Amino acid sequence: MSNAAFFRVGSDARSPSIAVGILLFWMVYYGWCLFPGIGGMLNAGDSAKFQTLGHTSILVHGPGYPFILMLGSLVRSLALPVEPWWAMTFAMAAVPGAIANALAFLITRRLTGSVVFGLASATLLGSAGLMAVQSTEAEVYPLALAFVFGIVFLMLRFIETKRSGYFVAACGLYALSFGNHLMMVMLAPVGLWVMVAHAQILLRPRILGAIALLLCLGATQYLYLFWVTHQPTTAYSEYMPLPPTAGEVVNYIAGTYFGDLYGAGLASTQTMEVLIGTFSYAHPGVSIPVMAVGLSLFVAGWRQRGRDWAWYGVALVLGTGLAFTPFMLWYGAYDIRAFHLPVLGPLLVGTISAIGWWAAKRPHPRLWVSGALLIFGLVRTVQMAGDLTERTAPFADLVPVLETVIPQSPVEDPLVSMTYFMRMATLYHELQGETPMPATYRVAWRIHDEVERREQVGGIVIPTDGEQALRWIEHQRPDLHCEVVDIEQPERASWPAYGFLCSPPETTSPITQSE
Amino acid sequence: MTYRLTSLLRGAVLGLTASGLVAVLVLLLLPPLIPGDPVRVRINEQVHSWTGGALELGPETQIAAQPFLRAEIAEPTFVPPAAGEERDWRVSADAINARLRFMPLLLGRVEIVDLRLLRPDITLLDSASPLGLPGISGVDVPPAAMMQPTPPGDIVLIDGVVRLGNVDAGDDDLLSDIDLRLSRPSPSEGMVVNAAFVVDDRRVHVDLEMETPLALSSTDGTPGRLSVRLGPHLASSGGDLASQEDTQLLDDLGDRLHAAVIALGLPAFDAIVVDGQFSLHPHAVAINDATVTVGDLTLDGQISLSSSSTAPLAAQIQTLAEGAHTAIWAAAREIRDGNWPEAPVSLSWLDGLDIDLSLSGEAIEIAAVTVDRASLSFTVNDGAARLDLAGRSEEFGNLESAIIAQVGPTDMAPEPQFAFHGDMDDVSVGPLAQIISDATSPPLIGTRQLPRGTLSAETRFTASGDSLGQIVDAIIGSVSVTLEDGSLTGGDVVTTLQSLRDGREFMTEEYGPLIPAAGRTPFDRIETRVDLADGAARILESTIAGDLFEIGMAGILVLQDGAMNVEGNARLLAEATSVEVEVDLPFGVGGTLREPVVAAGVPRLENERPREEAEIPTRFRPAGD
Repeated sequence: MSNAAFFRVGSDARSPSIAVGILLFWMVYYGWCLFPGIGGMLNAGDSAKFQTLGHTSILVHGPGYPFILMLGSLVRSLALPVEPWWAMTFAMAAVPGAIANALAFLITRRLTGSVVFGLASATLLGSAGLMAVQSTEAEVYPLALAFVFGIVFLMLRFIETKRSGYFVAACGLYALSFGNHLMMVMLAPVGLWVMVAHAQILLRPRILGAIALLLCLGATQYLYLFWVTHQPTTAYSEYMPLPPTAGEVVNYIAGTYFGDLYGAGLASTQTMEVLIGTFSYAHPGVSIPVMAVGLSLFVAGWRQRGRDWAWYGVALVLGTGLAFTPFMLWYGAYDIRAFHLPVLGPLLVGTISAIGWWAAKRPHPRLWVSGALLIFGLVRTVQMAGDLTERTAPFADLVPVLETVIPQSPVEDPLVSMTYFMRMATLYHELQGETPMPATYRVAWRIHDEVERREQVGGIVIPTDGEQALRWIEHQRPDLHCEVVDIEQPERASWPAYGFLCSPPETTSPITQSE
Repeated sequence: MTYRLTSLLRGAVLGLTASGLVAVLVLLLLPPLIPGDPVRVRINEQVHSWTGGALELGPETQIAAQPFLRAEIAEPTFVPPAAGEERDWRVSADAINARLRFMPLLLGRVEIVDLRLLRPDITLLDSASPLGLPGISGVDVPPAAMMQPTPPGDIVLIDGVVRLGNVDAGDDDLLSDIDLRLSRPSPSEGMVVNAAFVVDDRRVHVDLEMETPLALSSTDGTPGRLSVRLGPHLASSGGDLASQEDTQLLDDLGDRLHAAVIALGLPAFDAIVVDGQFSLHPHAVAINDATVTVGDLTLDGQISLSSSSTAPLAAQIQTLAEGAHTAIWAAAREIRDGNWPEAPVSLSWLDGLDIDLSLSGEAIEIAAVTVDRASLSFTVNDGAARLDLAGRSEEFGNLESAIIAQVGPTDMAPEPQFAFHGDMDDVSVGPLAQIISDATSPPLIGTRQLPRGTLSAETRFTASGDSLGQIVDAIIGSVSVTLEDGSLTGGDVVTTLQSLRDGREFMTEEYGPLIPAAGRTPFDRIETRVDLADGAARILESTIAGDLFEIGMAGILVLQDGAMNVEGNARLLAEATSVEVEVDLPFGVGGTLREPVVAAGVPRLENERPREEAEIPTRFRPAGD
């Protein structure tokens, strides 16, 4: 067989229009199946916080996500006639998810020369468990995946055509992606590998200069973040004081906050088990075999690599997934699953591309393998829509609950200590003026300044916490003694709550007075 | 050549046409040849035979001979042979079609192939007969009627209905859309019933073979085989929207149960074959020495049903089925509306019917686990029901449980009362959790992390009430659980505690919450004792001990809303055998069972303190403890 037979440069004129079709389909699909309210099943607190950007400028947790903040500004300036949480979730997750699926089509189409394989790749990615869930909740990982696939696609074009412009464009996109998630640093070795492999083309001052310039431009997103911290319209910062000093901003971006989890994942096989769980539940019973077959065919194709750039293309896609894997195993958060998309996406698309690459030389299997994958993907897409639309909004009745509970506080302006999830859902309503006031809503570990400031500390803990909040208050203020005040709630309350009053032991508490 | 072929063909066609015409003519001409009276005699013999001599055609019925060897009776009436005799049941039909045998007829004899009753309407009346069913009424069957020299022809019912008369004055169909064939292959070969009918919007196919129908009412009964096959749900035929919703509710419940049964690796219970000794006595039906086969599952035992009132058994079964239906539906509706404590619980429908069912089997495969021996017994007696389940498995552990439900003495407490006791020994939690996990729909993202270990548990409680909420509030009992050599999921306690020992700070602006390290926590032993009373579960004591750590907990769980309030302490030890305590981390568990909140308290790093038992807060213990 000749080189030309496998030389799949021949750009299909229809590909861009098919890609646009895929993009539109998944935008409608994810929009239709969007999580029906504030929060999400993956990390309700983070999602509620990002959704708040839909109506108010706030600072989220480190490293700051300036790209998402810009997206928030865009959503707010559009003033769409939909709920802010819906608009924000759609903009930051559904649209990037749809873009990632369209790019998956383009990548597989280019590596296999087959439109059907491309469609199968996009469908299987779009309906994979974690992808479908994250693309319909306010999470940053669909956007991370869209960036990853954008970069991979440009790199593929570079490997295929050897035109340095593609590589520079990939670097520009890469620099931009840091505004979404610093996890993208894991991709650097892949870029360096491509650079070394094409040193003769790329190691030129003009190109290196352009790359450096683009990286600097990408970094300016963090200047935007700094600017936001100094805007009077920024209504809330999760833990960085406003306005911060330069040192505080650096610490915030570096994420020292989560430092305890760095490396903790290596202590057990747990993170590995969870990662494999994510792979197998992408498409239960099917995704692991597809990945295994794809990887085997890729390895078996080693000998043909010299004759076919597409093998290197598959290697690039798979290498991208591999590049993120160490982070998944090293970072020890129990909810590590949220981070898995940049591994799952390239692995799924890479292995399907590997199968398509193998089948390209075998017309008969090519037809039925691609057809079977596509049909399975379509069935999964329908099934997943059913599963996604079954999710319910956990905080739908939050405001009425607060309206019942807060007025029962033993003091004016109660200190309300909450779990992270509930605090972030409350924030969404608080900044819209929908929560009972005056009240100081805090997550349980951010009550220190209020405890310090108040002479007598009283308020509400919702949901209950085995009364540990009181132990922390007494720990911080040994001069106070805390007592529980019962709170009346309707039967079978979703969030049981208790009131508390911490006062110096010698003073008689108002509760005892009233009795 | 061509000419000869054509003429041959023409001859053949002519011949065939001629003989066809003759045949049609003979058939058309035959009706006058069918003698009216012998046909009546034969049909009466037939009816007599199958009804055990209880009925015959009314004298005024007109028998019309029809072409093609048929005799038809339009709007037939049936009367008892002796006037004024009490009847157990009433039959009417649109028409009876008798198919006659050709050759005997040519020889002047009338023989019936089968009798077809079109749209028969059978009403069972209150009586002393057990099932009130024709032909197998169990009493007063004239043997001669059943033992004719030549087997009587078959009886076929087409599109029939069976209803219960004088029961609640309602005219509800017991069974509808009945297609049934009663046949006796030969006088010595017993009886075969093939039937299909609709009950509760499901088509049911029943095949019954009885070797010696005459012995049915004897002590031993007759050997027989019953096979029941359930068809799919039929599309709801009209009805108002509310009743459609209710049907949907029960169908969904059924579908979910069905899915759970399949997921457990049990055969779907929609095709059952029972072999055994069938017997039928006044007010009672029994299958002794029964072998019940459901898919791959074979169980041995006995089944009996008897009516404890004067109503026929069929009526009692219908009352029970309707009562159970209404009770389940009423409860399911409240649960659907998120109001489970209001779900009514009633047992009155158990009255009137006694059930005794006991089955056991060996080497049963359930979800890849071999249960060496399992037994099930269900009895209903005087309105009290008792269900016993026991299983023994080498690899899986032992399980034994009994639940007793009865209506309390009317003068004291008329509400349903329940008692439960269950014992588990050496049950492997991993496979058990896997089975439960497999039986529920898979999570959208990632695998469930399942606990492991060997579980022993003892549960005893009693409760009473008219609704689920009342019952939960009235539960009095205890649970004690021991779990050995396993692991808990959700985090690595030792690594988390070690990070505190190494100076990790948390619950501050700067460091945020205590996020537990990912991983499993292996343990040597978990012991938990729970008291159930006043609608709450009081965790009197719960300890978890493992290498390098021990945890103590006590608190309360409100059963109705699942609200929890638990305090505990997690302690890190310097070495497995050491008495040196490195860290004490008090913690609390709040929120609800559905959405628990685990909150870390203020840790104490105490190197010098001697080791004591893990601290268990006492303030949630019930008064007087």
